[in-house]
Amino acid sequence: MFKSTGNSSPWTLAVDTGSTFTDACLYSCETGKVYTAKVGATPGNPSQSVLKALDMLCRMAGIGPEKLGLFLHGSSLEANAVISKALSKTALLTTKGFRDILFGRSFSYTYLSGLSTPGGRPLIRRCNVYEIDERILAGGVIQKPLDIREVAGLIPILAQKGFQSIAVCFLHSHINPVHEQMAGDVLSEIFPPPAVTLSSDVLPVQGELERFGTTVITASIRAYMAKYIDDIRQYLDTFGHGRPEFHIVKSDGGTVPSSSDPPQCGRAIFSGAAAGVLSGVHLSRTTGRQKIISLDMGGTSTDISIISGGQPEYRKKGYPGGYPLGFPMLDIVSISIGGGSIARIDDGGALKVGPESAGAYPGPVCFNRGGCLPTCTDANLILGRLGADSFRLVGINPDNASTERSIMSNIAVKTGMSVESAAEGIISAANSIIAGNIRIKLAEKGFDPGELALVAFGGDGPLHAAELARDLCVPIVLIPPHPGANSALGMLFSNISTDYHIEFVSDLLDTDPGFLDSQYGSMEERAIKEFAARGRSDMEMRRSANLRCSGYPLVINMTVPSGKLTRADLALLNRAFKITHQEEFGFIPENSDAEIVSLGLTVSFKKLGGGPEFHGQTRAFGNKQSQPLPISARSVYFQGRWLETPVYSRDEIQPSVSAAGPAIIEQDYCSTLVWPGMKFSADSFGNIVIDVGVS
Amino acid sequence: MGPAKLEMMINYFRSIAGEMLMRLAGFSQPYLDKSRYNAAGLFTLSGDLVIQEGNIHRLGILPVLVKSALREHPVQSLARGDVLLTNDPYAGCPRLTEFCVISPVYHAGVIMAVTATLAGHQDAGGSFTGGMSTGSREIFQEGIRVPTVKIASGDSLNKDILALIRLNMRTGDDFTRILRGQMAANGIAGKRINNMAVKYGPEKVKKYMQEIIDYSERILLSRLKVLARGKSTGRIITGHNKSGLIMVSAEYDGDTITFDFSGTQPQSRLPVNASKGTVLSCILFSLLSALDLEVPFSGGLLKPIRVIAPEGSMVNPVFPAPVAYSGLHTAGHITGLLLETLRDLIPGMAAQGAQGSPAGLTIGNIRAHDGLPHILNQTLGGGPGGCQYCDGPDMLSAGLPGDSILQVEHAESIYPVIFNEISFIRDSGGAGKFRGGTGIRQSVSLLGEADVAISADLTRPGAPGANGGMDGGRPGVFLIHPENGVLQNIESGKYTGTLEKGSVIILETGGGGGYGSPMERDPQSVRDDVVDGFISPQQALDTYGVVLTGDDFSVDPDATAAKRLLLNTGLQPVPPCRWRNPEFRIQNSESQNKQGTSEDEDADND
Repeated sequence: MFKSTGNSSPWTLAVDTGSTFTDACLYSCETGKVYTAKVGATPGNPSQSVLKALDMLCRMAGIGPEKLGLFLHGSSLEANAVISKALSKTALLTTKGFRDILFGRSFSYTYLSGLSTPGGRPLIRRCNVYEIDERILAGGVIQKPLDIREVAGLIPILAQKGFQSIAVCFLHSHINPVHEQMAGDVLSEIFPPPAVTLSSDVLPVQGELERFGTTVITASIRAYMAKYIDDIRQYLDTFGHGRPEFHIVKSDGGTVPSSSDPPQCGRAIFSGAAAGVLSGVHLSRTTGRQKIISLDMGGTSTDISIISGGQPEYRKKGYPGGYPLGFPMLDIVSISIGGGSIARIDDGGALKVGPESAGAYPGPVCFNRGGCLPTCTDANLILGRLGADSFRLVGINPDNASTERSIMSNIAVKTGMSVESAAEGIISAANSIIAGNIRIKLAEKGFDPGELALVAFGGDGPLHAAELARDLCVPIVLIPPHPGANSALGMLFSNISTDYHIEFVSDLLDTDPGFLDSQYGSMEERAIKEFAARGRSDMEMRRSANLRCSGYPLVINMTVPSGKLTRADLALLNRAFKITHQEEFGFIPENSDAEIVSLGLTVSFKKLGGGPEFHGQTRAFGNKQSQPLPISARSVYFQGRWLETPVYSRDEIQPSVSAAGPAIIEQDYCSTLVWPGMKFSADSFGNIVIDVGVS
Repeated sequence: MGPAKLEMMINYFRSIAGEMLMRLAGFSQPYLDKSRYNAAGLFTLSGDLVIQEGNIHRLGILPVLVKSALREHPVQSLARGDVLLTNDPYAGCPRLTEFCVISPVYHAGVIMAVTATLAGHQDAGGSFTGGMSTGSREIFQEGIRVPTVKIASGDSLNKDILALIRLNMRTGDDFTRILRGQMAANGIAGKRINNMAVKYGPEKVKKYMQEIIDYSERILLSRLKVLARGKSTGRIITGHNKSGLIMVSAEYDGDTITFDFSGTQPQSRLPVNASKGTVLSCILFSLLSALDLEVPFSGGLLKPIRVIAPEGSMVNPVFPAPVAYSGLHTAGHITGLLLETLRDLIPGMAAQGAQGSPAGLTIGNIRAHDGLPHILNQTLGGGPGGCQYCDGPDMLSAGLPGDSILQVEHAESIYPVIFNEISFIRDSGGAGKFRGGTGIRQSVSLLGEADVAISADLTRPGAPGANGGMDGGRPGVFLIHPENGVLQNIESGKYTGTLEKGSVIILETGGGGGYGSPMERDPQSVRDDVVDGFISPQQALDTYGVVLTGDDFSVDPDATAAKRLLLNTGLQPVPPCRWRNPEFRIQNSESQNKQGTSEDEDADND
């Protein structure tokens, strides 16, 4: 977490705009106190709900909005909803012969996928794609020079057709952007910034499918994003000189200052989910747990991500709404299983859960809003794992009788089970899908479940986490203090960082250290210049290199020492790489040394303060162990039997406390379930720690 | 086992197969390997498939291969750490470059299951790079054939066998790398099954495996019972002059669905023979699509299916039949034939036009930019057929789910080639109420001399339309000579030979068949297609009967109605589909390339 530096004020606001709610939290760097708020979303004018949440929190905290030092913004809106709403009329200029690149389909194997073929029409119609007779080859050699008159000749047509935005995507422009820049210069005379978007600015990375696709998305939503950000900034500007610094959270968990114009706006498309993972990252760093499975289970979907070595895992691209987006993003698997997932018995006699969901309307049967098919939430109610109180904050008085009838007629009668075992079956079946996806994700990374801790967020995560961990053989479950407002909270932990990359393939040991120095040096100079333009000089730089064994595609990101590099440094790096390769992937090919794939530089602001952070509110330390006092008790069904189970208030679970399951721990918007045979307590950061009891 | 436990076990086993694929993918080079063909599965000790994940067109391979491997190496003879390897097409492998690796799973000293992976390798030796000579007449020309051998015992590779195999292929290092990946994938499955055996006991685990098999069978039977009835037959001719005849009859008798290929012509001397595994894969894909069935892929699905395939025929070849192009061409034909035949057996099945023919290109013996010999392998898919509810989507793809075309920038940075064009071919999508997807044209120049194999199926008319829809455009293959610039039309669609530096290779894939009468297509959609350049104004008028006026091609409703009336009543004939760009003129060249041979399919077929 970083402290605000925009003005001297210690308050930070993080806002996450979603499809139904906008979550916000306000945090004081001085006291560590956090206020959270939920307000209804205003889809027509999203900045409205943001400003409303801001007002609300300021009143709760008793401060004026001018006290804000930093304002962080992200969004959990479904990416395709963002894209489809925000489109400007966009044209594409591309290399002659390659008009149809946007129709390219890149599939990869997906677990539990059906037979259907994904992919919609490109964002830009074929008639709005214009070919330019130019060609640059691999390596940047110009084969056919661009004739600037050809571009100039197009301008009247583009203007007459009323295009608001122009994307320019030429082949191999990531290596040699000169043609794109020339075309951009000519176009800018009639289409002033930000109406022209160059692929070499947006995503200078090899692979036309992703680079073109990403540029087209960016060009299409740029104007909309700019206006939205402007609305908020104008409001913040009314605070005068002391206005807060305003940053946008990116899909990779970093942030960009809102003032930097968005050729980068596409980078924010998955920011909500990314921010959720950041709380896990923060938790990993504060608690010293190196490897974590982050599980965010909500009403309709569950997001899974793996954190290792205190770092989230990244991937290079995603497919929001079926459109390729090549920005680096946190590697998150989203599964269509949540509290609202519907259960049924199929033709072969198996109990299936999801992917159909009852959603918020009509919702589960127990909401009594007309839903009649049983869901996970209904099952949890029947099993006593959710109580009537659990629904109080959302204003629902659960209807046990009709819930029971629904499970009875849809599941139990068809299979000769009792209502309870049917309900328990629904939960197990749902969990098995999530567990399967986690296992595959771990296999991809080469991890064993026994090495990790499971961190559960979201409305339903804490309820399912202990059982999931047991099925996966994960020994520890952590429930952070505010599992419900996770994404907004996570934003508080986002890094204000910028990444620079140079693609450069060479055998590590054969590379001239001086040459590497000059490569890193040029990135560092660029960073210093860019940060200086933002009025900043207080940053940390981390050099890194993506390395692999020559011939093998498995890539490892290794930190490279700063300062002047020597041959010995490279030899050391090679050894460290080989050890890591052996550890991560379980083998290292004989006689194989590291090969550089690319060089990277991550620049982030120095973290200020450094005192105990927000979870670390003063709580009791020491060895004194005590039993927490339950606020009530109820019968909960566990594997075939009803057990009288104490219910605790979350506030009771202090570090000094230790108790055994079964237990239910209730707080606003969510409940944590601890199974019989498990133990739980809290750590000094306020996380509930469940010892699952698997070896 | 209760319904919830059953679902848990299904998901658990599926996730194991998924883990295997992920592990294997970790050993694959994305732009070089044919990892898209990978499949992974778990088997019982009797060789019945418990679960499989992977390429949707490879479902039948492992079940056939594992059974046959276990006949030669009974499970009792497999020690812990033994690994079997084979690529034998006559045992079921689709072609020699796809290797199957099989490992026993031991728990507490007792064998309790078998795991297997199928992976696409770059090469297997033979007369041409990647085994992809279009001129193969015998299996020997496609590479080294490996019977089921123990490639490892006690987890360590048999260096002699490995050396023998590596010496016989062009990309030995890549072979070893993927082989290690396959062994690692099998290993992870073994570990997971061991975990289960500790938790539930080995006997329970075996019982669960059986339950999953039974479950899939129950689902398939119940769906067949509701949807299928009677018997239907179909035939398809895949070569010139009635050669390449494939016949099938499908019959459902209430318990079993029988696919009888009797009458199919004897195996060809061309590399188009489809192995047992390939044929079973086509059957599974067609049947699951026809029944719209999503179900765990287990051996239970195979139980109600009976396949009669005459030995020594194109659908069950024996030594020494070549097979390399059966995946690209024959499998597509068989799948199309089966889908058509099943439509009579399963009346509720959604109808659609056929998919356009694909085209395959292999460029070998080229020094890639990294100095190593590499193999460029590109498959271009035909346009998908128009269906009952929607157009066949226009896309640049390799034609199969799970498959993507090589990106230009990746290809040009690895291989000494320059792409001149990848784009849609105007008017190639079959006309219809719902139009077939448009075919693709790709043009590539060679920066150095290279061995090249090209294959497109030009023996048949375009992909047939359905329910009044028209046929899609046909594929095409052209070569441009580097010096005289003469464009040569390879009429057979097949070419294998050495091309000089500067040669240009042009491939065109077929468009999808249309669905329903073009007269019923919304004139606005026809206009959009004209504006976007998918069809010409001429085709809009002649074939769709849509009259467009002005620079912005607006629809003239009255003139359109009149035109359509004329066309509908037959007063004016609908001209045949014009599917070539007018600007792309083809000169048929008499001159044959000196070094290359372009074959006529019939020549050797008798």
